[in-house]
Amino acid sequence: MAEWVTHVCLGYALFTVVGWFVGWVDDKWVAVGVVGSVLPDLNRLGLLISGETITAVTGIPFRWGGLNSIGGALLLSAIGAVLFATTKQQRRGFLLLFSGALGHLVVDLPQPYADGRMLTQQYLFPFPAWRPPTPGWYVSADRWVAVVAVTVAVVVFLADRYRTSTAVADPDGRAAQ
Amino acid sequence: METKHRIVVCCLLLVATAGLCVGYERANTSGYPTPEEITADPAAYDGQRVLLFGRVQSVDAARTEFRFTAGNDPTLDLTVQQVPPSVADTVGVDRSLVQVYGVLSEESTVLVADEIVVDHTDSGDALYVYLTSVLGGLFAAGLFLWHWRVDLRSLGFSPRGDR
Repeated sequence: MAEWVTHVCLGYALFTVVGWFVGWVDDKWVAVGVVGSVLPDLNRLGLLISGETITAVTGIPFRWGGLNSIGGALLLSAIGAVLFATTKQQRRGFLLLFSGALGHLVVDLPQPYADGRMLTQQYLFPFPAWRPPTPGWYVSADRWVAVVAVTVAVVVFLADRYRTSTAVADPDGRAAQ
Repeated sequence: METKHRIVVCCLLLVATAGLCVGYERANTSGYPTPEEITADPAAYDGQRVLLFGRVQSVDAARTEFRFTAGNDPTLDLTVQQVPPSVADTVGVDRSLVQVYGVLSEESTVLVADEIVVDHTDSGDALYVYLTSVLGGLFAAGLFLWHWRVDLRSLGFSPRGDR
């Protein structure tokens, strides 16, 4: 899985561009999408308390890896969405959180695995496993991945500021006529 | 949604999430024997193809094999053979994190590698991933809290206004 600088930068870029075409996706909803883009990696809670420890204490088999899946993305997005105040905010919150989490899983897909297949059997859980070949583009420690993601985010940020400034200077778009 | 309803729904969703993690562990989605299963009956897995994630402990002098530990509790320690020179030159004893795909033999004490992927060449790679993840997490949290207020009384988020 890619590190979080990559995930949040690509999430920021994705939802900022979406906001250019969908009116209600403003900066505050972009922020929600960015949070969604790290949700699947909440399986790293296992660094604080391991699944083995939970299993030993409760006697029930448990693995945090379940969060790093489409099922985990759905449930975590729903938990996040419930915390918004109004029904409209909850709907929008769920949509952005889940889209961000799905984006996270998609970004993680093309990593190399030694058996030559994608890790889709994990990401698709609890749905049936299907493992196409992986192109193996990067591992999480490859520095160039974060460099590309930060560059994309900066370019989108600058383009967004330019769009905002031209909209303020010329609200009716008369300069373009 | 009232606060008490929100708490009830949140609790139900948390239980469902815990159930998902239980189901995930029971499902063993990898399709390969786990280190725990192999450790329980090592001879039974000779000749089986496995995909194991773990750490390199030491590389032999000829740089054709390395000692490898997979799993946490219990751990599975074995010797990985047929290590390509490109991999042997990359991994060291400094907590290299690798994936090995191959066939088990000799009561699961030897893993003849078909393919090896090096995820972290040393502890510096692990540190890089942790630090960038902390940085990314701080950015995400900061961006969210810039636009949203956490209302502890209603246990919910509300927008901070026109930002």
